[in-house]
Order: sequence, then structure tokens, then C-alpha cells
Amino acid sequence: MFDLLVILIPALPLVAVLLNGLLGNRFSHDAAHRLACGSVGLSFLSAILVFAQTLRTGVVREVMVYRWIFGGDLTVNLAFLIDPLTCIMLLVVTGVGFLIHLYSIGYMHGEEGFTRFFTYMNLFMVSMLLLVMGNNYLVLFIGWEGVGLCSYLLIGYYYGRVSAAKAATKAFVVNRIGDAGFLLAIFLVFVNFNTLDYTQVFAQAGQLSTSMATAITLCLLIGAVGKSAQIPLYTWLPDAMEGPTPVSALIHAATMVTAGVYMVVRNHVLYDMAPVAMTTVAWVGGGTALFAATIGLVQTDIKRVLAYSTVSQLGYMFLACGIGAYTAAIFHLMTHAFFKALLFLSAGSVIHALAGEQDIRKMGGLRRKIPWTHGLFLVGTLAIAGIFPLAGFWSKDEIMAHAFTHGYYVLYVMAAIGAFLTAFYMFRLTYLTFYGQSRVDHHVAEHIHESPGIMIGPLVVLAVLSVVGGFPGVPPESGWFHHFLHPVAAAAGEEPAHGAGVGLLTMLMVIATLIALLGWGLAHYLYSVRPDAAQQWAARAPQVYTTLLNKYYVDEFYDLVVVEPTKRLGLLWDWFDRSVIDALVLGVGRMTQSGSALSTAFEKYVIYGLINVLGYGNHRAARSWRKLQTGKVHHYAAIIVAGLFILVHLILVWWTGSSGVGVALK
Amino acid sequence: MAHLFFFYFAGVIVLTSILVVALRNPIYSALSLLIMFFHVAGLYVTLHAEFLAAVQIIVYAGAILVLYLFVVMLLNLKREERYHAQFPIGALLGLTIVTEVLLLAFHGSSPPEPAPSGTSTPATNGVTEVAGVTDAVAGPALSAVEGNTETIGESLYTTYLFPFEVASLILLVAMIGSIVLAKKDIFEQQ
Amino acid sequence: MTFNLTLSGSDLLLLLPEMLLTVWLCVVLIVDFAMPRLPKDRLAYLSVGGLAAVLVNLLWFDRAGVTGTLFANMFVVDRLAVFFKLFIVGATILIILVSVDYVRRFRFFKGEYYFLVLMSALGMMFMASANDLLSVFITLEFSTFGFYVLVAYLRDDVASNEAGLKFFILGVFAAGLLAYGISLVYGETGKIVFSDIASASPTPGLVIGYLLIFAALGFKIGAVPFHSWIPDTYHGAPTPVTAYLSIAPKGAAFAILLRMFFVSLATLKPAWVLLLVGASILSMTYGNIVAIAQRNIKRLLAYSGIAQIGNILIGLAAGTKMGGDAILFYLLTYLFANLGAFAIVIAVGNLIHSDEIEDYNGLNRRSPFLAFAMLVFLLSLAGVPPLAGFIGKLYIFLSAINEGLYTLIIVGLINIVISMYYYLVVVKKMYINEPTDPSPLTISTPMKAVVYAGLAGTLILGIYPQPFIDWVVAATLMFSNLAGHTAAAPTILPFGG
Repeated sequence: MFDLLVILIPALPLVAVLLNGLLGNRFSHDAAHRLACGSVGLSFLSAILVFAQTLRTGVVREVMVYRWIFGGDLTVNLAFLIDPLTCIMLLVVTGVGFLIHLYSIGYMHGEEGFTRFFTYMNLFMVSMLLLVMGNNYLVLFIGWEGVGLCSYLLIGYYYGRVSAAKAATKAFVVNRIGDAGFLLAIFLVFVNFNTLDYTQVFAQAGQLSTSMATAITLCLLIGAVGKSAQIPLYTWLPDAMEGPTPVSALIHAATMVTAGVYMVVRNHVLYDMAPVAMTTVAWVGGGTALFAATIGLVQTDIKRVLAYSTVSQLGYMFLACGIGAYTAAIFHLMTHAFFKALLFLSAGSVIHALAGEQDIRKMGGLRRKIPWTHGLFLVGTLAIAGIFPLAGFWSKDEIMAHAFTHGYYVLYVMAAIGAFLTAFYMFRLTYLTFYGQSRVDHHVAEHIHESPGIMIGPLVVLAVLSVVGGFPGVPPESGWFHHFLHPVAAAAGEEPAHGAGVGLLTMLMVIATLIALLGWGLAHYLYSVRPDAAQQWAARAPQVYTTLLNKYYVDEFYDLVVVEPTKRLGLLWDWFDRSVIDALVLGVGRMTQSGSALSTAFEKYVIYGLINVLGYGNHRAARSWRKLQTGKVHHYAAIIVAGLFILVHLILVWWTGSSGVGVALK
Repeated sequence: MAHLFFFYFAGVIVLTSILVVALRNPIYSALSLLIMFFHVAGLYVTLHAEFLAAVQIIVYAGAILVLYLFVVMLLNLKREERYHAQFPIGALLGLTIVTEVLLLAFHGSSPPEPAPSGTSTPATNGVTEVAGVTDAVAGPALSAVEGNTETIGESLYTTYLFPFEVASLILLVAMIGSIVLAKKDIFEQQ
Repeated sequence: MTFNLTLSGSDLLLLLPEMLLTVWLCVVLIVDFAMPRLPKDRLAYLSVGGLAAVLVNLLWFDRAGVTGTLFANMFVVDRLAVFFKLFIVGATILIILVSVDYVRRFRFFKGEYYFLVLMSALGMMFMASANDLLSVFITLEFSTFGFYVLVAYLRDDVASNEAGLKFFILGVFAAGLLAYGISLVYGETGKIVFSDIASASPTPGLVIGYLLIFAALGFKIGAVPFHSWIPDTYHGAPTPVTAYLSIAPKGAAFAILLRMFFVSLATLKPAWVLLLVGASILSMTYGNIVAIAQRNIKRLLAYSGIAQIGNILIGLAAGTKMGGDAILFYLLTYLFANLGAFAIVIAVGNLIHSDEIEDYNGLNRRSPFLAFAMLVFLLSLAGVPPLAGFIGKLYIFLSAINEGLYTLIIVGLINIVISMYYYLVVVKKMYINEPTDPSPLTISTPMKAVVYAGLAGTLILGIYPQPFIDWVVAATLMFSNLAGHTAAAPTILPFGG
């Protein structure tokens, strides 16, 4: 019964995918979205039941579906692992996923390809569930790639938008870079353990050498960095905002991008053995948290600001992983899912109200016109800024406190500055959008309307969660949440309820609150009290401003250093294949007008003769023959001979090298 | 004595092969080819492969080359510049391979193997290939049956029945193929 | 005169599939001549019928485990041979089905087209069974002869003529290399059967001989640096022939490569691992990077095919039974994905008379089915799970990592990233760009059948690969004694020793 319930969680959306995908064009839109949302809702119910069962018994279970690959030395099952970590992820994914599905009914109403949208969304749910439920690396990887694919399809959802097409391709290719690292890690795990099941790998982890553990975990980190948009592979996420807003909320904020964090936490047994990798994770996270926050300061697209804040918040989660605060990372993952989904969806509501406008310079004064959206967005802002006692406060404070009490002072300072900047740019966003003078175009302004109930309803739920979502983690480091996750996410040698004094922790909380309030205050001053001050500041340091506005030119740098050279190389080699050999030979030919005609005779007489024997005398064939005469074919043959020559040479070097004469030949 | 013959034949073969591709006049180069065929046949005789030697002369020297000469004469090719630009590269590659192969050969204690004659550039390989086919088909048989025509026939129809039959299928493909590619005018007239 | 030809009835049984096909292709030829009014489509179905009978026969061989050798070990029927024969016959059936529409375009010799396809299939089936160097030469030439004609089949088309000539000249050149290599190996050992040569001590002549043979087979599969014929030939040939050329001969050549490297050269493994690693890295990198620059879908698939061959060579470089399994499995995934992709190229080519990638703009609007199928095939080629290509790549990479070929793996993984880019360019054009001509496209029934077969294969091999893995594992049982990473490295005789 329990097993069936577990299998149902991903199976229900899968059924919806098949029905909507194969028969979707025969369904009405109502039937399509009922099927899609209903399946995810039922998944959510199953997840709650599974969670309740795990909570009650505390048993870790593996549920086998079928044997997937069994050949050679390799055995992989399609099987699910149900432990506290999976349960939390399941609740977040299905719960937030369900709310976003409901919201999408309203948001996507009347869009072209409504059924297609829900098919992709459900396919995403299936992949994401496989990702968090799999009991081995390969199932994780399938989900990992599946979410990437769905992300690709959904970013490029709007036909004919060139920027969307580019963003989608970029997202997929950048993710593939991470995936290559992840695959390498999987291979290394397989070589060392001869299995890919988590339980067996972690049980035998002790036999791993430190250097191998470092290699594996660093490769895993490459994967995580790609998926979770960390430095240096973060560039795809802001571009991914080309997709519909529910997609941004579900995939690029709440669930998919946190997969990297989940993966690191899942593999924390291996990370604990590799201090170097841990340090790398921490610095990547801390660096990203600060770096992305600075870019977020000046962006003008409402969704891009949120995207950079997502990158930054993911940085906090990585930072937490890197300093061994795995529970805190998952805790922040959960609260972030709530408030970031809330922020994106309310941003979607704003965009919906303004008929597609995303530029905050063309907003302002919306507080009165869409009061519900305003209120909900404000709750999200307060939560992400870390204002007491909302969800974001508890989770972010826990990470920072852990960094401080464990002696990572530099990282603490980075995180603190990041928190200040976060509070600043989030309130900047709020002020520019909802307060001050309206800068909305007139013809748009006439049609501003509050979103329908089907959109506001889920937002209210998310807002409530953003307020109360932090309480399971109170008191810090020994709340209910920590006790539940302790069996799977406790770092090796870490004792629960760390001995840091209550006084110190309280002081850190106060400091965190002050930092957040300071950010708020500055934003209030610049964008509400003295609206022109911000521009003066920007004018005073134009280089800094443009650098930030252009996102430190990282995209341009990558284009210049990686993308363009590869393309050029492709063109060059293609040109080489087509023509350069001819030119080369021509050049040499001019220099040496005397010499023997080795190939020409063969070509001219044998081939031409042969062609004529076979009746190739007609003029068309003759034209192609003339092409031959320019020499292409025997140049191709020359390539083969040259290749052969290299092979002979290689073998010679190898052979004589093994008997000691190789040097003489070189 | 056998060595003397071998080196005579081999020397002439190498020389005439070079002439085939180096001579300006196609007729002359065809004639050098003819001389080369005769000497290859001579080599077969020294190996006691009399049947093969006869076949070599009848088929290659007699039939194929005559056909070839006809084509060359019928086409009445102009004398164009025949110096080929690839020569320096070809010579360089060829020389290097010769050196490497010789190094290989003298490095070990094994007897020198016939690799040096394989320093052919693309052009002469067409010729090598033809000889290669004959070698591959008849070689194993000869080692067993000492060049006796009867036994060649027998081993062709017993031990080597498989390649023999496949070769007959190749003829069928070649026939149909050349019809498909060549018989154009008939259809155009229809 | 006594002929001691000892072919009993049970011996002839081993030849049954080939004999069946030989008879059948003569029937096709005769029907074509004798019944000129018969629609040529019927000939296609007649050929498919014959091939289906051969397929059933081979399946029976596979299930019943019929094995044996004929003609003094020259012709072998084992699980490996049966696997490759099934592979070839399956590919040929699909190719004939995708050809039906295309052949209608020919002005004459429509019937002979099917005859030549069947002939090539027969040649490749022989290749799968070739167990000695002589048979290798003669069967390889046999199968290639049909292709020489097929590539130049569009006689009014300059590109096709050019492709045919280039392929022919370079093919003959490769045949020369092959013959030369064989003569060297024979000269050094006095033996031609693979398993007999295995006991020979390595001498320079033997090594160079094998290198020449490898060059000829490398030409056949299109591995860098023997790939130079591929782009032009693929581009110019009739598209169904390109599709055929891109899959079936490669499979047949791998049958020979496996026998050569894993049986004949098993003791020399340390020498050829480097060789194959080099060829593999070159093929992957070259194929993928040049593919980025392509504007024509056939050229794109040609270069992607070079890169895929690089991937398959990884399994050969691993040199273990698992590597062999992986090669076989990879070929299966490649069959479905590549053939499927070509089927769509043919279908689209038939409808819009263009093979430029630019003309795939908005294909999703014009035919969602074709676009979706193409998406699946390209993603499978790129190795995206859970499609077949992913399992194939995984299998092949794991076999190599077991042997510690880390450089190869890393280069392979980087190449997967690069390949993603150009596959996505096509996907992007199909899904996101606007079509210039939005009229819907419909395809014929046989074409649809092939696309469905490709889709089914690609999905099943990815989601439930177990039966196929069992199959390939059984097919390579003969390699199970190959030295893996646990075994001590074999000692190589010093030069000439």
C-alpha cells in the first residue's frame, strides 16, 4: 500500500502527460487543466500521506519499480528512496507545484498552446519527482536532465520570440556543461563502488581516499553549479526569464534550480570526506550570494531582479552546504521556495495587470489599483529581506549564525553584505513598482485590473507559508525541522544543538535584523523620500553603474572566449574540409613547377577512362569530373595517407619507446 | 640464383612502376605498365606459381591493358601540364614512411619484409590494389598446392568456395551497376 | 579428380539466411524485368517481404542458438554474427520503406534500386560472418560495390555524380590499403583466419599490416582521419542511400573490427588502445566542431555521424567484453535514432525539396508529429535521458572508465556538450522560429511506419532496455575471457622477437 502510494506520486503526473500529450488536441482547455492540476494535487496528497507515514515510523524505505539496466558489471534499478530528506523535497515540490499549477490556469488563460503548456509542466513535475525520489545516481540524473529539457521547452514556449529561443538554447547548453561534470562524477562513483545506489555507496564511503572523494565531489559540484546557477555558470538563469511567469516561479525559483542544493546535501557523506570540496562549495556559494546581489541592484526588469535574487539566495544555500550546515541549506531551500514562488507569482500578477509590461521604470503607484497583489508582494519582500519573524529571517539567520559560530568570518561578512543588498534591492523593487508616481503608459493604465481569484488564491496560501514557514525551524539548530532531518543531513561529527551561547545567537539575530532594516531604510530613502537621489548616485559613479547594468560583462566574456572561438573553429575546419587543401596544394604547386605527376596520371587516364567506359560521357558528369580534376579526390586520399602515416609513426614511437630507441627517432 | 632473379624482377617492377606515372606520354606509360606486368608474372614463376603467371599475362597484360590503351587512344587526350603540385608532399610522406619502416625492419631481428615497396603514393596504389586482389585470392592456395592448375581449381571449389562464390556475386553487382550508370541513351531515346 | 567438398545439410542450414536473400534478390530482379507494368512500389514491398522472411529466419537462429563454422573457418555463424545480421536486415527493411517515395522521383531503373539495396545487404550479412582476412576483403568489396552505384544513382544530379565518383575512387584506394595490409599479415604469419593469427608473435610487418587493415575499416566507418569522403558523399547521395550508408555498413564493419581487435589482436591490446583512443578523440572532436558550421541537414548528420563513430570507438578502446556489449547496444540506439532522423529528412526533403536547415523553420507548426519525432531522435543522438542514446553513451563510457581511460571520457563528455549545441539549433528552428510557408505537411504510410519504428525503438531502448541488454550480452559471450583492468597487462614481445 505504502509502495503503491510512493509510485503514484510521479505516476499520476505522468499519466496526465500521456493523456494531454497524445489526446490533448481533442480535449477542451478545461479538461486539460483539470487533468493537469488534478494529477499534481493527488500527487501532493500522496506525498502528504507518505510524509505522515515516515514521520510516524521513522523508517527509511526503498521502493523498487523495475530493474532498469542490468548488464556487464552494471545494475541500475528504477527505484525510489523515501527518507526524511526526500519527504521534505516531495512536499515542497508537489505542494508549491500544485499551487503554481492552479495559478497557471488563470495566468495562461487564452494563450496559444494552453494544453501544451500543461503537458510540459506535468512532464517537469514527473522529472523533478524522479530527481528527488530516485535511490541511485542514474535516476537522479534522468530527473536532472528531464527538468533541463522541460525548462528548455518552457523557456522557448512563446513562438517566434528570438530572445526566448536563444535563452532556451543557452540554458540547455550551459546545463549540459554541468551535466558533463555530473556524469563524470557518476562514472567515478561507479568505478570506485561498482554500484550507483546511494545506500550502498554511502555505506562503503569510508574506503574512499580523500583525493578520490575530492574528485567525485568536485565533479558533482560542477553539475550542481550548472543546475543551480552558481558562479561561473549562472548566466543562463536571468535569461531564462523569457519563459511564462509560472514557469519562472516553478522551475527557475522554487524547484529545479534547487536541485543542485538537494544533490549536494544528498551526497554530504562524500562531501564530509573532502574538505577541499567543502571549502570550494562554501566560497562558490558565498561569492555567488554577494556577486548576484550586486547585479540585482540596478536591473530594471521585474523578473530579472527576482532572477538575480534567486541566484543570490541559492548562493546562501551553497554557502550553508559548504560550512556543513546541511539542514540549514534545506531549510532555506524550503522557505525560499515559498517566498520566491510568492514573489514571482505576484510579479506575474503585476505583469498580468499591466498587459505584459515588465519594466519597473514603467510601473509605480500600483498599490491602490491592485491592492491584493501589493500586499502579497510586500509579504514576499519582507520574507526574503529577512524581517523578523517571517520565514526568510529564520533560515537565513541560521546560515549566517552557523558561519559565524564555526569561524567562517569572511563568509559571514560576505553573507551579511549580501543580506543588506538583498533587502535594499527588494525594497527598491517594491517601491518602484507599487509606490510613488505612476509611470504606466496611458493606454495600459486604463485597463489595470486585479487578477482573478484562481491566481490570488494560491498566492494567499504561499503568503501564509512565507510568514509561518520558518517556525518548524525554531529554535535555530534544534527545531522540529532539524530533528526530523537529522538522520540524513547531519554532518559527520557534528553534534546537534551546538554549544554556542544563547546570548551570541540572539545577538546575531539582532544584527541580521538590523542589516535588513538598514537595507530597507536606504531603499526607502532613495526611492520614496528622495526619488532623484538614486540617479545622482548612479551619475556619480557611471562606470560602476554601467558595469553592474551590464552584469559585469560576463556574457560578453563567455561569448568572446568560449562560444565564438568554437564556432570559428567549426567554420575553419569546415572550410578546410571544403577548400583549403586545394589552396594549399595550389600554393605549393606554384613554387615547384617541376616534379613528377604521380596522381594526375592515375586520375586523368584511369578514372577518366573508367568513367567513359561506364558511359559517363555526358556533359553533366564531365562537369563533376572537372571538379575531380581540380584535385579534391586525391587530396582526400592524401589525408588518408597522412593519417595512416601518423598512425604508423605513433605505433613506431610506442614500440621503440618500449624498447628504448624512441629517443633516437625523435 | 633465385635471389638474382628476385632482385632483377623486383628492380624492374619498381622502375617501371615509377615510369608509369612519370612518363609524359600515356601510351608510353601504358607500355611500361605492360613491362611491369610481365615482370610480376616472372616473380610468380620464381615462386612456382606458373598458373598465376599465365593468368597474369593473359588477363592483365592481354585483356585489361589492351582495353586501357584503346580508351587512351580513343579519347585522344591533349597534352596538358602533368606536373603535379602534390609531388613535394607525396615525396616527403613517402620518404618518411620508407625511413620509418626501414628503421622498424632493421631494428628487429626479423627478416626484411616487403614493406618498402609499399611506399607507393595514392596514384600507384590503384595498381598495387589489383595485384593485391590476386595475391589475396591465390596466395593461400599456392602455399598448399605448389602452383598446380588442377589443385588451384580444386581448392577454389572446396576450401575457398565461399570467397569464390561471393566474387561471382560481385560480378553480378558490377554488371547491374554498370548498366544502371551507363545505359542512358536508350532511355532518352524512348 | 576428387572433390572433397563436404557440405552437409546442416552446414547449408547455416547459410540459409544468405541463400534465402540471394534467391529473393534474383526474384526481385526477374520480376522487375518480366513484369514491366508492375508498379515499382510493389517491388519495394516484395523486397521487404523477402527481408522479413530472412529476419524471421535469423530470429530463429538467435533463439535456437544455431552456431557453427563453414569453409575451413572462413564463414562463421555465432551469436555475434547473428546479431549483426539482424541489425543489417532490420536497417535494410526500414531503408526500403523510406525509399518508396523517393524512388518515385527516379526516371528509370527504379526496380534495380531495390535490387542493389538487397545486394548490399547481402554483402554486409557476409561481412558479419567473415572470419578470415580473405573473406573480409571480398565481402567488404562486395557490399561496397552496391553502394558505389547507389550513391551515384541520381544521374542527372551533379552532386550525386560527384559523390559517387569520390566515393568510388577513395573506396578503391581504401581497398588497396586493405589488400596490402592483408598481404602483409599473411606474409608474416602464413595464416588468414582471425583466431589462428592470434597466436602469432607481433612483428613490424604484422603491425603495419594491421594498421593498413584498420585504415581500410576506419574508412568504412568514417573515423577521423579516414573520414574525408563522408561529407561530400553523404551530401550528394540520394538521401535514403545516405541514411543506409550512415548506419548499415558501419554496423557490418564493427563486426569485423570486433573480431579483429578482440580475437586476433587480443594479446596486443596495450598497443592498439592508444591507437583507438586517438582515433576516437579525433573523430568526436572533429565531427562535433565541424557540425556546428553546417547549414545543410545532411552534412550536419554526416559530421554528427563521424562524432558518433568516435563514441563507439570508445567501447573498442576499452577492449573488454563490456566494451563489446556497449558497442552493440550503442549501434542499436544509433540505428533507431539516426535512421529516424534521416527518415524525417527524407520526408521533409520529398515535400519541400530542400535539405537546408533553414527550411526546417517552424516545422512544428506545419507537422507537429514530424517535429516531435525529430526532437526525440536528435535528443537521443545527443544522449539526453531517458532516451536510447543516453543508455548507449552511459554504457560505453562506463566500459571505458572501468579501464581507466579518463582522458577519453573527459573529452567525450565535453563533446557531448558541444553536440548539444548543433542539435538544439535544429530543434530551435523547428519549434521556435516562424515558418516561411505555414502549409501543413503530411507524409505517406510507409514513411510513417519507419518514424514510428524509430520512435518506438528510441523510447523502449531508453525506458526498458533490459531485453536488449540481455541480447547484446549474449551476443558477445565469446569475448568474456578478454583481459579487463583486473588482469595483468600482457607482455609484449620485443621488436622482431
